[in-house]
Amino acid sequence: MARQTGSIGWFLQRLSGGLIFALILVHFSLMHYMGPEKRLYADVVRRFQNPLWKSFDLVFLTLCLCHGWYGVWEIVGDYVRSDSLKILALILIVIAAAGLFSIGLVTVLTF
Amino acid sequence: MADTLGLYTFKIFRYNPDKDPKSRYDTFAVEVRQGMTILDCLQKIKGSLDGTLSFRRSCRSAICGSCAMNINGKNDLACHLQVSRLRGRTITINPLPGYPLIKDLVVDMGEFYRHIAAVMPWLVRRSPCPDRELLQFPADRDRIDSAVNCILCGSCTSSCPQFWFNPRYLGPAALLKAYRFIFDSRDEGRDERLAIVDDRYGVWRCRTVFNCDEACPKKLHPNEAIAGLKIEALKRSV
Ligand code: FES
Repeated sequence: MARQTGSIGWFLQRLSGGLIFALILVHFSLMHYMGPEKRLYADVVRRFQNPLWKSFDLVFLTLCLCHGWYGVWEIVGDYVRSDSLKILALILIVIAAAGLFSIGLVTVLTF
Repeated sequence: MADTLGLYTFKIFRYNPDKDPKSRYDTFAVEVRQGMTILDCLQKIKGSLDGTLSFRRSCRSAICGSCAMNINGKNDLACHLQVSRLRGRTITINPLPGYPLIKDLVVDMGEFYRHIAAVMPWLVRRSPCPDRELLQFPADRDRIDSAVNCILCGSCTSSCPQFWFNPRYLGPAALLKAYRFIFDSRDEGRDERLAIVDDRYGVWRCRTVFNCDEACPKKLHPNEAIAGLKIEALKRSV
């Protein structure tokens, strides 16, 4: 097995960061610059009928969670020395990420 | 006298574990003249006010890197920095942060040199050496031009928060040294060296804080070198 150097994680963080930036531009223009009529409940419901918007939100959600929580894991790697604390932090990170993903998934799929 | 800058207060970190396990600050008043460097003032203090003050120096020409210390919160070379360039009349001098203390402004740079040695700071040749000197195109030399100028003062590594917490991290100076050889067109140890820096405690520990660039008294850019190494290491892994 290839040695775990951190290079792939670093690369994926850059890639996900770039993608999140592109998606956030769409999100921002939709939520803040399209006029208040695009943010009404009925508009959101209509948008969520479209599978493309559902996919957009799912990709956005997945990327943000992966990017954010991997970042937290890196901070743990930088500042936590004890192996048992690292394992504990990893478990908490996985639980938090999985929990938030489930909430997001349920919202997007059932809206 | 016309060229005098007046009286300055030097607040200097003192530590002598043989006498007192606690550190303290001593203050000295020094009459400073135009053109005097921090090192000149330290020499004056050692020569006429307190002979027990310890600090390193050698060349007095910003070449050997011995006199790096933390002056008013910034790592710099004491022999290079003129008092007139500093604001205020009180100058606080601390040892370089991040290294174990030995005495006063003298720190233990053993770990720093071990990291430098770890990246094989010499030219590796596998093919037979020519009878004459190995020539380089000017463009190839330009690529490593600034990295060659590193004087190993340790200011950059000492300013890196990653190194403070993870002394195993190679640090910007060692990585700049690795860059200097990896991108040298005459070197043939590229893969070996890349394998050393492509490590959790190598380039990937760098969080691009930019302290190293700011701390370098020679105005080099270790951060840029580390970015170059990351790309090379990534190409190697994919
Ligand atoms: S004494 Fe040599 S760099 Fe300052």
